[in-house]
Amino acid sequence: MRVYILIMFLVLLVNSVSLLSPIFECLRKTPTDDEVVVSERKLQSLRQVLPPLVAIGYIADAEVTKGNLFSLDSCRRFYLVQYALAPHIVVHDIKAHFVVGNFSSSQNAREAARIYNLQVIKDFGDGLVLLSSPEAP
Amino acid sequence: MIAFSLLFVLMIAVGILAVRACDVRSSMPIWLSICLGSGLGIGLASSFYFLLLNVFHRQAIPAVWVLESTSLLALLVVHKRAALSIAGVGTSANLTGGDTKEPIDTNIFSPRIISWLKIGFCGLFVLAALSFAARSWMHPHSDWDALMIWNVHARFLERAPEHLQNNFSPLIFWTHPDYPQLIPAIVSLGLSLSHESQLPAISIAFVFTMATAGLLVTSLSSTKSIVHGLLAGIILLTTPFWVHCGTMQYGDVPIAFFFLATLVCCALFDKERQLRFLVLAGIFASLAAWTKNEGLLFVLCLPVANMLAERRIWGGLKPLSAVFLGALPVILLIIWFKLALAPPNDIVSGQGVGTTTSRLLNISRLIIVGEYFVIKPVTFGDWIASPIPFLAFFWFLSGSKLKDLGCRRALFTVILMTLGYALTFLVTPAEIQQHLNTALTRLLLQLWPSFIFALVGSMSLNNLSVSSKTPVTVGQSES
Repeated sequence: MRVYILIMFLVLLVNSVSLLSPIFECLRKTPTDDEVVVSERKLQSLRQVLPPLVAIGYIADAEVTKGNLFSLDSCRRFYLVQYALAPHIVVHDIKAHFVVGNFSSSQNAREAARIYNLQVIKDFGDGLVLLSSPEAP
Repeated sequence: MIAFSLLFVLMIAVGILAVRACDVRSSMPIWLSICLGSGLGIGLASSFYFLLLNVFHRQAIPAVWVLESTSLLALLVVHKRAALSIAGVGTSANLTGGDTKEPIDTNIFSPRIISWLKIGFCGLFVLAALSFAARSWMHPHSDWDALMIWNVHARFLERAPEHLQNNFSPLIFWTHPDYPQLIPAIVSLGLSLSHESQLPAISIAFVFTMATAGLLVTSLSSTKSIVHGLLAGIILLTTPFWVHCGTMQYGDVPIAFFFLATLVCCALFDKERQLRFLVLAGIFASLAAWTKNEGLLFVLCLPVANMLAERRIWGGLKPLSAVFLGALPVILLIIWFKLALAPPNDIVSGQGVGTTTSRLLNISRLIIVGEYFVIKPVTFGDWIASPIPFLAFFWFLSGSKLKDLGCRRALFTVILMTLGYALTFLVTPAEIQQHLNTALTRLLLQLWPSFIFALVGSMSLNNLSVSSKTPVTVGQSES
């Protein structure tokens, strides 16, 4: 029985080793700004020009490159925009008076505006634009 | 940040004093009150704040300060009076006292080994805390679910309290706006008081992660023995996914705390026969339902599990009404939230008589769910070596029996909840395998502390004797 208890505690002890990995990671690396912080910084100036509490449309690279709208990367970029712009509701659609364009480059932003007949209200640089849709209800 | 820290301490103090107020005979060890009270304080503050937010909008913060301060003063008065009356009557009997404790044979767990277990648990506790701090330091915004569900709703509440309906708009269905608001409400309070720092969300997650381990140790130490308590605490803290999930800032660790707290309060009632413990159990159960929708299932499972464990309806109407009384205020808040604010739940609205029946009768779905429910319980903890087979073997080897009502109740609750989760997966309108892959490990983690409570609490450590058959009480030294 003693041996069995010893084995059981040994198993528990082995599992505690996993607790060390975040500590080692923390000691090895210096924390850099994660994508949330980067996205917040990028969207801060846009947030300030938005009228209060309107639902906002959203368009991104996938609409221009005809890529996968629901790829993990596209979804995450969209979630980051909603997180940064709350309490505005961000809808993945261009049928809104204000549409956030979240592109990887300004060239893609201009291309999207041309394809979807959107008017650029303000270009914030780094592929971020505020657009207006004439189809808005 | 100072304002949040002060309010945080204040709400936890209110929770601890509220727990002490329920313990008329002052029989509860202080550490157990601290562990129960920290979660209770956060839960109650969140519920009050959400209500106040709906009434006073931006003025809810001064209102919550007034409410918490008044509660603290009132509870201090109650505590003082209770202490005086106990001193007068002289009936205080500590749960850890030798008169209420089962004699435990410590032939294997000698005082020296118990000391090692204590050192081991304290070391693990510090290690888990450091691991939590390190991961939170590296990833303060944590995981995607925290960002797109819990913390985004906290931001909605904080940034536009006068337009709360935006928070529950079906347009942002992917943020699950029907989820209960315990975590978003308390995090939004923290955001308001800290200029949108991530520290409040991290602190709240930290308290729930560590308090659950503390609750396991202190509750089993009080109701069974120190060995039971330390063993249970060590098992939880050596579950890597427990600490990891804690840092994720999801609702799963807080709900696990509330599940366990409810079962602990019921076990305390079994021992002390103070109805106030059942009122407290009711409050904890309702706070579980205010944390995640799974808590609603828990509220339904608990009386059934008790009926199965006790083989009657909670020893009569009085105890049952005490639980109901405790749960009622927060349950009313949930009913109001679900009826007036939240959009329909995606799983519930995706049902119909025909579709649900066909899903239930679909053999391939049943096989998929069955496979997951056989494999995942052994692997969900991200263990290097799964302790489940060892623990199960140890349980049988020690000749353990589910004699203890509290442990039986906890086990039946875990079994009923697991069946409920399995049934939910069977009828889910989502893609079944994806749903199982993304949710099952966290659902099992929610039940893990309660399962440890049942498993370790029912272990017969008496049977671990190797040489002497004379029972030795814990604390007595071996000659």
